[in-house]
Amino acid sequence: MLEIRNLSKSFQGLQVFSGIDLTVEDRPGEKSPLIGVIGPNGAGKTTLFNIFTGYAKADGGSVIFDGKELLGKKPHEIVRAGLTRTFQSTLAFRQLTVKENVLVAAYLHEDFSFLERFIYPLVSLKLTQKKTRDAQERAEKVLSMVGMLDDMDMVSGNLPYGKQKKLGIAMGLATEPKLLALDEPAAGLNPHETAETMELLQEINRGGTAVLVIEHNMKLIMTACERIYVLSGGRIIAEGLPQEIAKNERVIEVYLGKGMTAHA
Amino acid sequence: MDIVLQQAANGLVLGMSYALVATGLTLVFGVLRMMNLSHGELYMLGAYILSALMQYLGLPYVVGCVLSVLLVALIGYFFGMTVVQPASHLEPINAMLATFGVSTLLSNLVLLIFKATPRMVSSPFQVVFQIGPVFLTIQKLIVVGMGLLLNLGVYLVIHHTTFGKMIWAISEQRTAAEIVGIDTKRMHNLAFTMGAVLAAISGVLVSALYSLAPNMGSGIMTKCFAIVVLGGLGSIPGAIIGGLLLGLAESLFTIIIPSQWTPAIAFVLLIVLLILKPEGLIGKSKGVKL
Amino acid sequence: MKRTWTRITIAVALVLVVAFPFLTNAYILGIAQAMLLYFIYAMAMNLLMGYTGIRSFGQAGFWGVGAYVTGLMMNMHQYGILSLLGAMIIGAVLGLAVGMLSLRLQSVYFFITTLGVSEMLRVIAINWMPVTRGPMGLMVQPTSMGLFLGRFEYQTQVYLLSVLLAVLCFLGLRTLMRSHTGKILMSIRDSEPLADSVGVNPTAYKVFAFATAGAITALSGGLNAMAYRIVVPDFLSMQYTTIGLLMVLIGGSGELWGPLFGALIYVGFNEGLRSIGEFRLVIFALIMILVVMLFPKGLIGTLKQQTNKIKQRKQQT
Repeated sequence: MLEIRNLSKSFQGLQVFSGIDLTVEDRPGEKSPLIGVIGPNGAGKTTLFNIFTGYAKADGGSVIFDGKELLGKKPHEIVRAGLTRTFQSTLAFRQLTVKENVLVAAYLHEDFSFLERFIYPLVSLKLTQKKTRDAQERAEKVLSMVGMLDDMDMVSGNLPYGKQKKLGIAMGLATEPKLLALDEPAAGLNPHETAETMELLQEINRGGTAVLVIEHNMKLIMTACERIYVLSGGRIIAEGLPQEIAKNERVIEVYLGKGMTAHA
Repeated sequence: MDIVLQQAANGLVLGMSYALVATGLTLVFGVLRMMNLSHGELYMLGAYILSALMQYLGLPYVVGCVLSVLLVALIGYFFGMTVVQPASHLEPINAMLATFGVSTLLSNLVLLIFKATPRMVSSPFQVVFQIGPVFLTIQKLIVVGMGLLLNLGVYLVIHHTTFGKMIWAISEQRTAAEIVGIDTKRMHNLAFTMGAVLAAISGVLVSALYSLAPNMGSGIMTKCFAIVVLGGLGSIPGAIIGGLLLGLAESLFTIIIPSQWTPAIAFVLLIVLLILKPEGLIGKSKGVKL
Repeated sequence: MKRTWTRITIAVALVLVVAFPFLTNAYILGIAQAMLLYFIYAMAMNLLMGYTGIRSFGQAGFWGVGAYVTGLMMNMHQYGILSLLGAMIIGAVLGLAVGMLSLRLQSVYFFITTLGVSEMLRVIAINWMPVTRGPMGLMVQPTSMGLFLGRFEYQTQVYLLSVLLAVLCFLGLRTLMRSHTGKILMSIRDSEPLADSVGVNPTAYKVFAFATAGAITALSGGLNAMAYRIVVPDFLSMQYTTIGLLMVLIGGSGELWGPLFGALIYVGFNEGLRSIGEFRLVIFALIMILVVMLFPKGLIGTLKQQTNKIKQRKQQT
């Protein structure tokens, strides 16, 4: 599904990362992949995300999604191809309500024509009624899945942090992606909210969506992910099952310092 | 060929006067991250206050220049403190409107007091001499000389003094600068006073070359916009080179097209450049914040 | 119940507005005319800045172009309504051209480009004597407006046409902002990168907003040309851009009724200060600075804020 090959990026003379290979395989008929990316702060995880979602340029390498090259494409084109990402900090359209936030994302799959986008809205709402109603239904379904149906009409800027993060995930879901890439979805959440998020990710994954997640929360990653990549010092230093990663000497060294062992 | 050289020389003089004002504008933008739309009026005030001092107080040119620059620095500092600095915390559009309000205020006050009739200032340096086929006045040489000195001075201050480095720190990372203990407010005040001084000096020097009008402030502002985009926002060398280039372009083009069309040159250059290279010729580009 | 009362009030207000020309003298009608055409300008500005978040400092370009196109067409004996249509089409085309070239730039560069384009148009207007008559201005010949308005006096014709157009613009804008496109525009205002990440093509929608606002601004300029029968290059100067921006800020950016109040307040102030003569612009500038710095949310925005605070206090007790 997603194949990142030999990706490299440098910034003002500093090599951020190089030789990055990462794969999310297509497994039709089987369980969708749930893959984690971990690594110390500043290792370049978010930059990696930014590159394959169209927000930053790479210096070399390629990113193939469903057989198509993603590098050089704009973010909304990548979303159309089926790869959606969430952000660590910019979470929602603050002046819009929760429902409106998800609607904007849900409109993607209504495939409005040029007339429906730019001419009919000036004339009458009835002309696009069918598609907007359909989008509303799908938005409500997504909101009920994340458990925010009651907050539908709240202005999203007024929501507490935890709910804003959930809204971000809901918006990503509403674009009906094949692969959902999340940038630290549990950052800043309390243990209860983190557990909720973990369950939500697993539910999304069970529903058939592939999930790729950057996280610092070890418990979440180790429990939920079937495979983990470890990014450190600009390279992938380890890749494999959670148990293997937990015992990997280089990983322990990077996180805890030389000569220590990890207690799971 | 003679006329080309003459116009090139005139163009450099003109360009230097632009560069001075543009440097001030780009300096304020770099530090405050906002466009001070009243910057051009400081240039205009430099010229008008000099004219008034000479006409009503009978002061000689050089004394008038110094006094005028000091007064404009004060005025610039005043408006910087009361309007520009507080406005820099607002939404960008509100900030620009506030500074535009100051610009309208100043230009209309001058219009009321001095009326729109063009004024002239005469300086003792208007003796004409000749270098080869080119006619120059000492005044013009002073403009270029002062311009080079000042721009060089600003550049050196920014890059080689502690004070300058502090200004640079603020323009790069305001929050980090505050954490480190730099008094950003004082730096802002200093930055736009510096900008005011540069604009005023350009105004007093140029007042002996061209006639004054209350709208000369907005006239030079629109050119400065083109210049700072040409050179890159926040880039001082860019402002200098951009200013000189524009001055040259305008003067050389008057050989072929009537002079009323020269203001359009700045915009044509601007538009062409923005289509080809959106980050400006020399400056840095600011990426998207996520 | 509240809905019916609102509808009755609006209906009564509309009847009064339409009957106005037959109730007052030419001078007061002129003020009402100004309010209408500035209302239209403010609506365009609100769409651009308040709803889509595009900060353009060159709207005067559209306003002036609309004025010149309308003036020229009327001098060619075209019906008023066609002259306005011509202005709107040119406005839209200009908006598409400038928008497609410059909306992909960062906001500061975009702002400078829009300023540059309107200034360039101003220089052209000053110098293109055979067409625009330069600084002396273009005189506009009165013609019939068309649309069966021919039976009325010229000033009344222009006024009634303005009422019709203002109402149409308002309804169109209201429908737009309730539609899916309206929500997408607001999402771009709130966060362009985030909108991009949910499949919205920000540039396409921004160009749409820019072209539409350009057409409506040109319409306002055209009405100005019709009403006052003179067009000068000054219409393309920053002054007229500021008027638009100020109306939106005073009325409330991103609020449906903001433009109406902004226009009423602006024209009202302008008239009220007329007696002071030349000093007017200085006072105006002072007021502008104070309003922009002290009431950044505008009239409607600040009112909303205050009523919310009162509501919250009531809930707590």
